[in-house]
Amino acid sequence: MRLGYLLRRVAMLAVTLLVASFAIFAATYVAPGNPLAALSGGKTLSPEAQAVLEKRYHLDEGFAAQYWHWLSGALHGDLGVSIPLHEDVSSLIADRAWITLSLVLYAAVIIVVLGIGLGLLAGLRPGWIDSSILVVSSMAAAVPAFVAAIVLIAVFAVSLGWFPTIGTGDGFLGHLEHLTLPAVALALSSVAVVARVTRTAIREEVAREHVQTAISRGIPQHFVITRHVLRNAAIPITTVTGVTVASLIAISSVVETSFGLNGLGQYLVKSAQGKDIAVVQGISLVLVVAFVLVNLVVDTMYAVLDPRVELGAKAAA
Amino acid sequence: MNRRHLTRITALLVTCTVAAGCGRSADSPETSRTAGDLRSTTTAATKDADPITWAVYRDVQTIDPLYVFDYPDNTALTLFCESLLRTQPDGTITDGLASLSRTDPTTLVLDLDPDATFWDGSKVSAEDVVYSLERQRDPELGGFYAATFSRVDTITATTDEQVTIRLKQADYWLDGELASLPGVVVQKKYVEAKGADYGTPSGGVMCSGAYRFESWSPASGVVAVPNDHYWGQAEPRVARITLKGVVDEAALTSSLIAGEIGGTYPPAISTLPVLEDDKAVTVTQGPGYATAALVISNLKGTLSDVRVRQALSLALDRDGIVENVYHGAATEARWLANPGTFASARDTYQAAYDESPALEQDLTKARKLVDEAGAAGRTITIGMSSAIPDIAYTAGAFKTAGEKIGLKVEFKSVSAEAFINFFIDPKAREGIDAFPTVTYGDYADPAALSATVVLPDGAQNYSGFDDPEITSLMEQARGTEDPDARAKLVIEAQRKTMEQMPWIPTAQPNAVLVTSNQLTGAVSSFAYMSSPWADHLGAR
Repeated sequence: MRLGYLLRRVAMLAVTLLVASFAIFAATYVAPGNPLAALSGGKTLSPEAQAVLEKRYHLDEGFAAQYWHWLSGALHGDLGVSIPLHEDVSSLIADRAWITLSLVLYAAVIIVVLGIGLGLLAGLRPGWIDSSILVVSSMAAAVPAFVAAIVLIAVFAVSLGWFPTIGTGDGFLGHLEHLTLPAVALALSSVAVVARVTRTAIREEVAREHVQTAISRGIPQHFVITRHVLRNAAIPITTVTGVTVASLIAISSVVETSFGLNGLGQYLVKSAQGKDIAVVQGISLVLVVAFVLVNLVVDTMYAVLDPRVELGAKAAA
Repeated sequence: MNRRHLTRITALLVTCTVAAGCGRSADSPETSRTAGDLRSTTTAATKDADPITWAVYRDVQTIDPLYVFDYPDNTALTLFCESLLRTQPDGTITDGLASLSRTDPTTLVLDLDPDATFWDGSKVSAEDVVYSLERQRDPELGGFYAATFSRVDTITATTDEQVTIRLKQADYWLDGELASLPGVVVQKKYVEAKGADYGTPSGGVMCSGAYRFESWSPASGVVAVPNDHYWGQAEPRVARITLKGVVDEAALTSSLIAGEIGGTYPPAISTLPVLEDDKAVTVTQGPGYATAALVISNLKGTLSDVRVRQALSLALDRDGIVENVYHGAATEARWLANPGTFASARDTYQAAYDESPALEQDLTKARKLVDEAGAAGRTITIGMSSAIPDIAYTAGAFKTAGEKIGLKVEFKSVSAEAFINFFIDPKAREGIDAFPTVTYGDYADPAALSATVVLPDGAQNYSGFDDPEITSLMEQARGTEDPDARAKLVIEAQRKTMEQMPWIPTAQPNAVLVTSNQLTGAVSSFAYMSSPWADHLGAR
């Protein structure tokens, strides 16, 4: 059962990747712009030079042939060569992937700890604590990451000088210091969303008959909360946290740009602009894999949290 | 930093990011700058400096001199590599790895400096020079500078330390090219060993400069360290220079103010007023080589009549462009060439430039010219990108100008990424009459940029412009040895060019250098694009 489920997921991943790669390749192919422009920086190329470069990068061939070159390469683990950098795409991606990965992980930790923590607090402590959290989270949810980034830089980096404004730093502590503001900027609106969903889920569970009965029977409150409330509220909380964290991968480019972090998100945008197709393809694949994996983790967690959920069960079952 | 200042920076950064274009804020003082205020260098450093990060507007893509042509890549290459001749900060040419003499107008002799060595200690040999130059002009390699060697016949090593270049025709423009990127000398052994990896992050380079290539990771930047055994006169004082691409202007500005970025040469930056007002950074403006202009790409439509081109130029509000696009960091346009390129025969050029009419707005005269040409009501299509603020502003200024004098101006707006296609793809230029640009020649000479625009085979002559008189003046200048006599021919060509207006110049951007106020000694003219800029950089 479990093995079959895993195999199905892997097959789905492969199909998703193939479809995504085709869609992305087709989109970059028809999009305006010329890969040689990225290479030449706008310098006028002589027709001979242009012909030499087009041949070198297969740009003189048709769409199907170019896609085939890429796909057959990718199947052998060769993601191609970046046109402007003349460098292997796989090493270019590896060089930047850890930045995005650490940023998203850091933001995910903030979201889980702060989002769920504040949600719990608001859900279990009606009154001024709840209202304050509600007001602050409404505001935070409305702040786009790039605005958060600018305000955080202006206040905590430029004015107070507590954090660096740019780059990734050296060593573990250096990375931590450099990635704190970006991670907060990235996490901010998601913290608010997760907090609100958690609060609602907790409230719903608390109001349920069995919980009220348990409380009226004099079972200790912490036992009721951990055993009944949290357990049942966990599924909506996990879902929203999973979806939010997965979406961070896509919006990380905005924050990476603001903090001068050369992560995958920013690189994807730049490469798409420059029609560096091999890089766009490579990064897209990594992002699709990451997205699917996060969803897989969320699905698996359902089963752990609630044994009634069967892995791979049909929705109607 | 006081609160008002902070609020202003925050507000400005938010505005800049949201609107992708920022104006000078109302309370900032107006500073007028003239060519007289421009400095070519900053005071030499007196102390060693700790490692710094130097920002470039995007990541470095290549340091192979064949393919280097844009601010970030030039900044990287000139940090490491040296040319046969050297462009000094004031644009004049002096000896570099070699000294140049002519035994007759078509025979150039390059005598290598016997002390010159690569970083690995090996001598820079005549064989390396021949290899480097032949590599540049090999059409199979697809390099950008092959055309600059069009009058070269043969390049041979006459001894271990001497190279002779034989020309088909006398060529005095070649000196400038040899003092710029086409004249960069690379080590033959190293290039051959690295093959396709040469000049890439994994292959690196082997050159002879005062800073040595240490590493290059695309994500964290190109790293240079002092070459302790440098053969020349420089004093590399910065422990490590990391060249890093910073795309976002707001991020660049705040990092400069916070002191995390040591310096940068921004091609144009919307936050210049903020940087100029901040005590943590020093902004220096120097002579530039770049010209901002409207490229006339079609001489068959409404702009075929020279009177319409002149009228459009007369109707343009150039002060608005200098103020809003360059925040004052530009000088007025009188020629196609930027006065920052007046290096040899400087006085002759400057006197002629000052005598040339200023391009002042004169709507009455402009309307009259349009009427005479019978062009009233006709349409001009301008290619532009509303996503590139300075291009959009300039296109808008031309639209306003055209409409004031009875022309119709339409835009063909493309994405920021597709804008570059106007320069390389004839199909992209179909249906458009003109598009704005900022561009520069390889070296400090008014002819360097003009030749690419006015000569029938010029690389940037997109409209097929062909004026036999201008062509003849330029070709004569190319073959004239005496700098003053050459300047007179170029001056005449500039005057005629301004009458014919194959392009309509809008402003002459200055070179801008922004550094932390702890640092000093960097070259502050456009010469940083073609020769070492950090040789005297260090702590104040």
